[in-house]
Amino acid sequence: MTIPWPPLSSLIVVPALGALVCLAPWFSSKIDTKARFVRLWALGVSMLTLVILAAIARAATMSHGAVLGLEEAHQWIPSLGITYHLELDGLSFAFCLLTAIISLAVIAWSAKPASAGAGWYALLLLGEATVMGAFLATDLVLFYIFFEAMLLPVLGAMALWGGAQRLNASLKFLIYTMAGSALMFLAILYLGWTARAMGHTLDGNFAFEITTLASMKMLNPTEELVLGLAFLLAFAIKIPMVPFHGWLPDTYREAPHGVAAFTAALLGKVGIYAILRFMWPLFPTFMVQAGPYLAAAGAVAVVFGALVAMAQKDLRSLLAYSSISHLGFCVLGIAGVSTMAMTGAVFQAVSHGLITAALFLTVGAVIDRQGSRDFDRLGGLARSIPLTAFFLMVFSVAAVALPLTSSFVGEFLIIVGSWKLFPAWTTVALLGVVLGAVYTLTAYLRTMFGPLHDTDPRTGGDIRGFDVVVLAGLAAAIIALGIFPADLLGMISPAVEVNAVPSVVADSSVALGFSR
Amino acid sequence: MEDTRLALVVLVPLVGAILSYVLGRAAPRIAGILATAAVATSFCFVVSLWQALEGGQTFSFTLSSWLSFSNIKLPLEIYFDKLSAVMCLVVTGVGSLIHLYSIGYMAHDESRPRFFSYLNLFIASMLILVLGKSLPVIFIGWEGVGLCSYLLIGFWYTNPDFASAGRKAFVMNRIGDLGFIVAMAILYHSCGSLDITVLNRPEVLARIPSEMGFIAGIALFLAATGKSAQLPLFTWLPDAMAGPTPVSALIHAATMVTAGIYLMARMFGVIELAPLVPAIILWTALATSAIAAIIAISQNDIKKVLAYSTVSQLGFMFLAVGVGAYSVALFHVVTHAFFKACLFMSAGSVIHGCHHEQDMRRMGGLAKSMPLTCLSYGAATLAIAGIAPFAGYFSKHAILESLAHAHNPYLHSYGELIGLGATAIAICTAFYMTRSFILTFLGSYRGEGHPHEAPMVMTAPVLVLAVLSVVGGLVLNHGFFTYLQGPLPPVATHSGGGILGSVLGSVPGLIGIAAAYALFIVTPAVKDQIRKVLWVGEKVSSGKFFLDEILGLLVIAPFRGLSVVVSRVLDQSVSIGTGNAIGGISRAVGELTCRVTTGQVSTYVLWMFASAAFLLYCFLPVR
Repeated sequence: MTIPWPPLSSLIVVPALGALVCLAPWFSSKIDTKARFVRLWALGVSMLTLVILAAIARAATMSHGAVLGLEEAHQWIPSLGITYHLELDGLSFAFCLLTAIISLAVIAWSAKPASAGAGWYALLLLGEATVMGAFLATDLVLFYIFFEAMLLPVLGAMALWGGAQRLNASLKFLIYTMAGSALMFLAILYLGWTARAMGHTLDGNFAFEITTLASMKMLNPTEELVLGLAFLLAFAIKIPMVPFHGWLPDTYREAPHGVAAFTAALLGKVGIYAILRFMWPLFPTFMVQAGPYLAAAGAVAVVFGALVAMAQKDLRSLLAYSSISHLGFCVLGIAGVSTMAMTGAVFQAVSHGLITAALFLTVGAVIDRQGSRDFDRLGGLARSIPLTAFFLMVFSVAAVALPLTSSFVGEFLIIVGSWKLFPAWTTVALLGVVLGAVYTLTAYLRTMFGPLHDTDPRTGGDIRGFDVVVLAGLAAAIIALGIFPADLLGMISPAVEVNAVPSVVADSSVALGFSR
Repeated sequence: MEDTRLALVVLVPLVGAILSYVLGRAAPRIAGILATAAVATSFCFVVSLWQALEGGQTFSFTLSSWLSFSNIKLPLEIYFDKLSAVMCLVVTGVGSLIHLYSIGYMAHDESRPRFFSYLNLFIASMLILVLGKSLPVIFIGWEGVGLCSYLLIGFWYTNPDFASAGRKAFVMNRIGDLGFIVAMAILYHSCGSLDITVLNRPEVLARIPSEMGFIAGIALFLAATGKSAQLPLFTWLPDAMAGPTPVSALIHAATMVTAGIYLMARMFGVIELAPLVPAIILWTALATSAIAAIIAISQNDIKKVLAYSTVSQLGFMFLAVGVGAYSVALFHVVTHAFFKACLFMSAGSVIHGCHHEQDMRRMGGLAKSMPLTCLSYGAATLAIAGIAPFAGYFSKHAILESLAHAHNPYLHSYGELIGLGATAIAICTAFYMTRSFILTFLGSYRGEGHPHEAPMVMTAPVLVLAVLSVVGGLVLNHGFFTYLQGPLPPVATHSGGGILGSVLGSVPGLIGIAAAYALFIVTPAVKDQIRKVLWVGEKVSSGKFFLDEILGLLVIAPFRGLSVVVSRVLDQSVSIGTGNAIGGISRAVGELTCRVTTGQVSTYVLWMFASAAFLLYCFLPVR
């Protein structure tokens, strides 16, 4: 067991402490210089988190070769067998990196709700801390706590500074996710109890740590089915998978731009991550049986999301449904045992996080400027705000997965990797490639091209200053990952193989061709 | 052999794309010069590499390890062999001339830095396409040229019709791209590699199961129909004429639209796996070529005539592909690049000289005011008509001859029919091209204002291409097919057939020219008679076979309808349905854990937390 320096906990503690400091009374006064200072503080904290992550990754790759595998474990509640156990492998690293980048981008983005003060930054930093925790925790109870806690900042920010229907949307979001996770919590308790009842643990106690539980192989197929479904429901709502997406359009419509970007980029990814991290090792037989259904759900989501997106006239709703479509590819990728598809799915999740956050921010800039989010009241903006138009083009092109952008890497690996296992569903999902081009280019056409609509702009001018740096940074990340994805892919694939693949391959009762 | 020059071939236009925009915004005049210099530099590198190619030697360069991880090897590697050399020479050579021409054509457009930046980006993408060492790398270029095409068709984006034409091109190409992706998936799983140098080896091809071989071949052809504008995906190309004319010359005539032919030639092993695939290619090509030629007869927009003629000529190239004569198809790609670029650029000069008039009914008699342009257009018309010894004669004759040698089990006894059909199309081609020449340059001027000859910077590159249209075929005819033996399967050598053969081979072209001359100059009254008799045909031709309407009815309308139904009905009901179910679950869990419900959701959420904690607590005494 290696405890790296700086410890993994710092990835959670630093933003959490940073959030607390933001709430200090000194910041909450209305004086302008202090308001500026709190932004710099939050920016510094999120930058520090990114640096810490990079430092940990660098130190680890120096000492362990290319594969990351860092752990940090402490006793927490010994009487219940609950541990404080964090692990950073390639899988976690990909998502932690995404979290750090997105948090930094959203905090650095200048536009925020007018009434939001220091609390805005406190909630965003808290969001970063909890999402990081969810991506690092390997003890199921600890994971569950982070899984629930990450809702709070998002719900808080939405309820405080959202659109007209914000309370409705918040409540809906809350009920959906709680309903899913309540069942998962029961399943977690059942797992811990079974581990104790079977006397598998060293000290005859409960056990919640994932590698311990997975190595026991204590579940019979029925248990796997029931518990697996309970877990799957929680993650299906979180991702969201069709038909559990009822909360998503409202949330994405009502949340402030930054929070929508944060939510779209990160929260759903926890579901993807958790299926790979927890479900494959815990319920291998169930996952193999569920594979075709999962693939079908993914493919249907791709087409469903795209078709609904085609009918939208509201820019934010369009982004919401396009998210459902793009995440359908991820679900397809994690449905079958193929290193290629699973690695692609993780990469696609990271890529989608970057692109969708960038799109929410850019579209937010357009909406704020024009005071409208409806196609029919937009148009011809390429001439009046060329820099915004340029970035929107870059991110749109990335969204339709043009090669040399990150999303091509993800979608290509998912499609080619899944082809052998689920040719029919992969073909269905391919339809989304065409439909994606239709709605993305139509949205661009209706907002940026054509004659300039006679709307009177509310705030003047193109994006400028720090916001340009934010978008340029995101664009650079998207293109860099599109041209040089090999390092990240090389980190993800061993972690995916260790986590998901051997538990199935080792199980000889499951006759399955190991396909790459 | 690694060679950095190869990287420079691609990188120089890429850097040019950035510089011509960034520096061009400061000084718009230099944008065109920078962009032209970049492509010309790239051309020089290509020539030096081409000179260095000896025997079976090839060059390669790895830009990034790209999709290589675990045991998957898909590096971003480019590769230069004789086939790439031919394509690169055309792309950068004709590309340089068109860049030069654009300096004059776009001289008064305020957005020309953006224009030249896109144009350079296109060249870079096209070079990646023809240099890619594996299918995914080719796909980078494939999508890159699609993006540039989209951006350039909608270059004047304030016109919503132009912007829509760009979107149409992109989406129709995307449909073809599905085929590309499916082919990659099949080939990867069957052959374990997507490297083009591996894929054409017989022992690798033998690993593909026969039905998968058929699907892969058809999928690749679907990709080619998108990019190279064949049935059913060709209607985007005529609409693409919304772009500036140099774009039509470069992208939608000389280079990008031939990418499908290049792909077929590169993947010939896969195409020929199932004999049904070449048969389907043959029939599709014949139908496309015929339909496009018939439509071209009734078009009045000079660019539309050329656009349909491009579709028709691409069909000719696919005819050669269908009978396995890949180097003959490539030969037509090269000569077509010469004369079609020349035609488009001459048409551009005409449009420029007539103050943005594109309707031939308001032209006429331009031979006097634009003698150089008339000369170029005339030479290129004779070339496309297939009159010996102009360039088009040699390639077209080679195609007709290879059709005569076709042997495909699925053709049964219809093989000769295809040859006959192709000859009829050749007559038709000569007819409508002569018609466009007569309407534009002969007779008397029917428009307003004073047409003027284009400036030197425009006429010079056109004249170069005119010369190539005249002598290009004669020069290349002898060495071309033997040169490409190696990357491509050999074809029976063609000689053009001596003096007598040349005269006989030119007969279809001469018939077409004579017919057009007779109908439009000698006896216009007869022409009106024929139009009255063939009024149905005229309706079909000028209505473009109603393909857009049919496609709209059969594909677009259903999807739009589906989209509305799914979003209004399915999505709503699903949301409500699962919403209720989710509510039910939470209620059940709540009752299960604490049996206290107040009916108020907010308190009840609190209870859920509390009950969960309670449950945790319940486990304590169990030990």
